[in-house]
Amino acid sequence: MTGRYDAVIIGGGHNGLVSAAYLARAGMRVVALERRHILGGAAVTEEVFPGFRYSVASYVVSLLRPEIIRELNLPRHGLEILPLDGTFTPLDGDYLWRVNDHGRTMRELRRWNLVDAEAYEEYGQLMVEMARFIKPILSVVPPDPTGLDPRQFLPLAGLLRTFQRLPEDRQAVFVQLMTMSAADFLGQWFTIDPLIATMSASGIIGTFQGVRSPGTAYVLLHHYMGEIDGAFRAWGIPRGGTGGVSEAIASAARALGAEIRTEAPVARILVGGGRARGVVLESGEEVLADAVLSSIDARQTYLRLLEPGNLDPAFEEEVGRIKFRGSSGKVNLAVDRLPDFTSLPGDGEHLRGAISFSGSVDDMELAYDDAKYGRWSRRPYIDMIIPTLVDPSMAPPGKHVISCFVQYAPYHLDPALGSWDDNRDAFGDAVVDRIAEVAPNIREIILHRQVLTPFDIERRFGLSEGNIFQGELSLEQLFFNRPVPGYARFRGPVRDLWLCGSATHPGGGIMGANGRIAALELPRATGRKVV
Amino acid sequence: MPAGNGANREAAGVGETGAAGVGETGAAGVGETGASGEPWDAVVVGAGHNGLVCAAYLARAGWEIAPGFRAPALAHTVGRLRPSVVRELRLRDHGLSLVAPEIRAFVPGDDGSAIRLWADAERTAEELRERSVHDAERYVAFDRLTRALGRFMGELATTVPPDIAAPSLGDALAGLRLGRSFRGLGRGDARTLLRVLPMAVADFVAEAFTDDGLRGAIATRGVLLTAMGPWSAGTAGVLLADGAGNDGGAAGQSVHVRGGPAALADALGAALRASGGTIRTDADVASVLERDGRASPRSIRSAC
Repeated sequence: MTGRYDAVIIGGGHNGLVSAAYLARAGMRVVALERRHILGGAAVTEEVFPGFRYSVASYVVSLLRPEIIRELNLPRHGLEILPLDGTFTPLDGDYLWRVNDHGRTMRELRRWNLVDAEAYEEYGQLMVEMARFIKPILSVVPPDPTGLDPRQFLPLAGLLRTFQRLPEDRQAVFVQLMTMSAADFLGQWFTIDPLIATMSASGIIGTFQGVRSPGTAYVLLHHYMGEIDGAFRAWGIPRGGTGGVSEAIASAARALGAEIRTEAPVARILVGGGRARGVVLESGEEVLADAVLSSIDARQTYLRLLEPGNLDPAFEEEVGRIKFRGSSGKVNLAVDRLPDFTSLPGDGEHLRGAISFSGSVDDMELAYDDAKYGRWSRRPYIDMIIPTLVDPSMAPPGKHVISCFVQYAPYHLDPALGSWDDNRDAFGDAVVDRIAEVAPNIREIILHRQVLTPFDIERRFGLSEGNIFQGELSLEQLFFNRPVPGYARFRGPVRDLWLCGSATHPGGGIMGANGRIAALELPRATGRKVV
Repeated sequence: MPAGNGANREAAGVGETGAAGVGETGAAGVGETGASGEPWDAVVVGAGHNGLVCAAYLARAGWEIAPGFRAPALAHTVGRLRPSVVRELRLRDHGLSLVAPEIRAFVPGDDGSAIRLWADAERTAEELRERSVHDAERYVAFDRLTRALGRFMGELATTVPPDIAAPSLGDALAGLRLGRSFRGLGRGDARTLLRVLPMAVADFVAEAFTDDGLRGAIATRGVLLTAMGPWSAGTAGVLLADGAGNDGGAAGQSVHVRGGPAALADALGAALRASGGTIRTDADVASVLERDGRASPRSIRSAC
């Protein structure tokens, strides 16, 4: 289809596709443009080695907004989430294993420590309450606290009332969550070191922080929000990998009338008279539209795709100081048979959930210490899952794929270490060594190994500095400060140019909230009639 | 509130002879009565600078005060002393003499070079040229920013935290006053404040400067007296709070008391006595006694 569009979307990741679907649903003529040959951005499934298919980057879902699943009717478009059950923390000679079955988890915790077992129930309830309280914030447009229009604060009035109604001790917990470190926060309830370490791990995912860094407790809450919607209850993996989510959204968008093009890299955004008018592809083709929505990060949108001179230098400086500094890597393995953990040998239920290499809080913090000084962790934290145990279609019969999320792998290496190209293999070896400490057979069973450093993640997925959230989820980069202060309402200073990706509120993860809010806000802000 | 206010007495539980007070136990304790012959209106436990300031203000309001005292000897500068306290308690008349050296910080480097942070930002900038022209050019703007944000932090420091569950009229007024100063920052600085407060001080200084020595010299104040490192979130807020209200800025506040920090305590003590307060030293408080859920002013037992 040619001619003028109502909206053109840059990037065919899950958020770009969600925006496309919602704009099409509002009756707009919309086209989404993806640079690669395959849709999904970082939520993508690819056959990396013959017969072995991987969720190459993002590998689990829990945050995907239930209203999106419902409103876009995603199950009808092929979305199916398979549950991952539990978290297994292998230790030297022992293990800690929590599962969805509450009774079993309590028995396991009592084996470790009675007091912790009791605190576990209380803690779980508290976090559900906290997440339920904060959750509405995921679907509002952040206000500008320096703005004068009181109407923009209206969506927050309900939240304030709920906060006032919270008992005082709950209010205090909320403040703790916003400011404390994950390890300190959890240390108020628990004493079992591997338990604190494993739970605190979700506080550091995708950040350049350690479990003892203030501010990481908030990220715990961010990850808890997905567990309370009732739709899935816990973390799961989409059938066919995380690309399955993107394909379902794309299918829904097409059904609603959106046009989606792959291998259509955008070279720059066209601006005329202070407004975005469309984009120019690398092929030279112009795609004109009344509005441009960019689902890629703010740095690339404003500093790469806009020609110089379109932005106020102060705004440019703000964008330039967004913190990315990717801290994670991904190691995808193809294996001949299953890894065998010395502390709990053989195949079993414990391999069907997350396997967390987080033996102690000190281990976690030491891994971060390396990163602080520009080294990859010599004994990294690893979050491993074996998708083929719940979805055998991902590998040839009898074989398995293993997905390892690894921290820390700092994007900016100490120059003395050389480049990431020089370090990729050694980093991969460190991951295998760490696994071998508790599952020695890992070395014999590996058929193929793919190591993605933050540098590779940047190159392959277009994520600046390899940050999986399009900008760190640190307090100063959240809510009304995301992506930059004063421009959190999904648009920057250039008229008709919108942001709709993880760079915006409420941040990253396969959530889709960003793309949805932006697409709902656009017709509202431009006074367009929704069909 | 004048001494001898009956309501206050009653509320404090004085006159309940059954209370385990000083007289009954025979332990050495706070004198039973103030100068008016009536029991104390308030006893201040601990006479560090905050205890003394608190006592002096209460005495100034007409309360009869008996603070306890153990000598403070840890502090070595008094940069955060509120100018309003100095003014309102007329501490200069009571012998306080503050010395603010022209040089705020001297930071010797490993390589034999050194950084001097002057009270005069322009002078610091001039000296920095030798290390980094880039940093020298940004120093004055950074100094201005930290002063502006520090001024707001100063406002915050003089406000009683509101009761969130049931804000009173006073809380609301304080909120409005803060809101006005927040707007007074101007849009750019207001946004910067909200962005910077939760940041790591290392990141905050790195936004302005490239020279690692200079970054370190300034970032120090974000970690002073905390158990955090410069890469910990929230330390930028510590740096801003350190400059709150007084003559802060990028160089920090190195204000000395002539005669050492004890001279500040002396001036505060003099101010308190001038308002009719009493100070007792070598009087460790062992416990605060209560009756009907209220502390009794006559109920402080001494450990010595």
